[in-house]
Amino acid sequence: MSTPPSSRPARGRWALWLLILPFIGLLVPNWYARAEPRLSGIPFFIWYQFAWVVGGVLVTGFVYFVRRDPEDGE
Amino acid sequence: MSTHWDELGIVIGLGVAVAAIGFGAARWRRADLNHLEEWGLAGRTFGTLVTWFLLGGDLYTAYTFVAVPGLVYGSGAFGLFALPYTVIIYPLVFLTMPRLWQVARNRGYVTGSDYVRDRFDSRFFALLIAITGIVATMPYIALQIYGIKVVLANMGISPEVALIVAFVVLAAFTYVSGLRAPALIALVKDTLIWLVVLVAVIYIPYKLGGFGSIFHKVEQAAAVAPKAKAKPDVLPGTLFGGYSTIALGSALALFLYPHSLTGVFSSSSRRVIRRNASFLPAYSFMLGLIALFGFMAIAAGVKPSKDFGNNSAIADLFQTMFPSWFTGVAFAAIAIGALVPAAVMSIAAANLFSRNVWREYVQPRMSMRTEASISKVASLVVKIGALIFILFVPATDILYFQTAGGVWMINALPALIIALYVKRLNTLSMMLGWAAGIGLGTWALVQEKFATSLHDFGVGGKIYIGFAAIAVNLAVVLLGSLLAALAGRRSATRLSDDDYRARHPEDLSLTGTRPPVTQPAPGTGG
Repeated sequence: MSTPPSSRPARGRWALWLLILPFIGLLVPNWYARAEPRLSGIPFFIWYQFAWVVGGVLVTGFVYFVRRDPEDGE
Repeated sequence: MSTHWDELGIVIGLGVAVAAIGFGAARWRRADLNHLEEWGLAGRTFGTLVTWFLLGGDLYTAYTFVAVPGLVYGSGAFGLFALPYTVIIYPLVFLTMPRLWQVARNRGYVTGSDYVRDRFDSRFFALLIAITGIVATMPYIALQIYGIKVVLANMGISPEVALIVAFVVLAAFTYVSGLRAPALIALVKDTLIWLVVLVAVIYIPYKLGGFGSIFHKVEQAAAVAPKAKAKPDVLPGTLFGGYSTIALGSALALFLYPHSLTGVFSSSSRRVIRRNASFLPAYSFMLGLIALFGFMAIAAGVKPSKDFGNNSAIADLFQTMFPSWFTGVAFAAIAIGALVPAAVMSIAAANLFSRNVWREYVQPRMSMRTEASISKVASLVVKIGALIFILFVPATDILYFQTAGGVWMINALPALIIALYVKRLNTLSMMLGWAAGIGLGTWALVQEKFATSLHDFGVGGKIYIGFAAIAVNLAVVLLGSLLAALAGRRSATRLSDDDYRARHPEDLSLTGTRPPVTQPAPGTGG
């Protein structure tokens, strides 16, 4: 064993809390189950959920960059 | 229906190419395939890109590509739960899977049940989780064959012979190359699928007069249909509870499946998994687009087929819209798309059998080489079983098994995920929780005659049965563990905190290359 793992603690653990955002955005359909406003004819219900695919990527991507854990390896 | 020879020619041509890749994969990243970690996990060497293709090809299966638009075509907006489901899954993967990967890497686990065995020092509990995985996986494999069958039937040829040929080839290259075969084939499969979906999602709306016109037609049809048969493009209030519980429940269950864990364990580091939690949603976006084909099929006036019902919606839509050569490419993409998950699933189920059934209960002292052989043979048996299943069991029944599979699989959540974080879990309570969840889930499925995965438990209207099952399971686990803790009883474990930490020097370094994971198996000389 070279470096004891405990010598380089993980940074930015707070960012993990952001991972809850997609759940809030998507698990309450009451907020988004409607047709208007449409996006080039596509009902809000549908394009809103597509937008969350991008939103989910941004959230996990942001957490990935902010949080650095030396134990994650290459 | 007449035979479409040009479509068939393209499918056969691409099929032969894929078979060649499957056999050739044995030489890729060459290692001793008589070792289970090499045959079954490709030596845990896959980097970000290969893992992306492998997991993408493994989780977003051919059956998904047929069933999701089929569900949207048959019931409208509810079928879009595939979107929230495959979005919220990735924060969960990001959080939990690196920790499970690490302990698996440290201790040489090939299956989730290997972890359960050590975590609770109980080979019996590991067996329960292994059986849950095998039982949930079998119909899933059968459904992949079903996906091929839908496509073959649409080309106007008798599916039975073609299915048997496809499966013999699949079984042979999986036996020879192990996990390397689906990983390489996934590159071809996903390239084809991406090509087909991107072309289709531009071309079909163009032919149907744009998305505005498609949803206009869908809404007109929904407005005149009787309420029970309407296919709305916006979720009705009565289904809110069902929608969010099935999205959350499916997300909790997906990474418990043996084939998901096989994909996760084969990656080379925690970082690879975390990166893929950001890259894999590209497939979720694609799945959403594929779901929209269901609405396009409604707008194009596609009729449900006699043999496959709503599930042939996408195949029929393509056949109506595209020139036959492109339909051939699309069908080949679906058929090849079925081979990747079928291969990974059979490998995963086979590993459960060799590690957690055969080694534990039949031949505890077998060599590494014997273990790999048992897995290879088991992967053949699993595939033959699935083939028999699909040839002799009516398709609708298989769909029901799949529904039930998800409800059962979710009950592995406490053992595989909660156990990573909560130390003082009581083993007996874990087993009782598992039994309670499976029991309640199965009871509710019987009430619904296995035809739907939603049931009204008297709380919040119709909700996903798997969600209720895991709620009960968790309640039993937590209450039981609390009581055990109050009584001062500690359950045994073979793991310490150190087992969850990176301890191989190459796991910690940011630049070093990694030596092979596997030790030479006894008697093989490496």
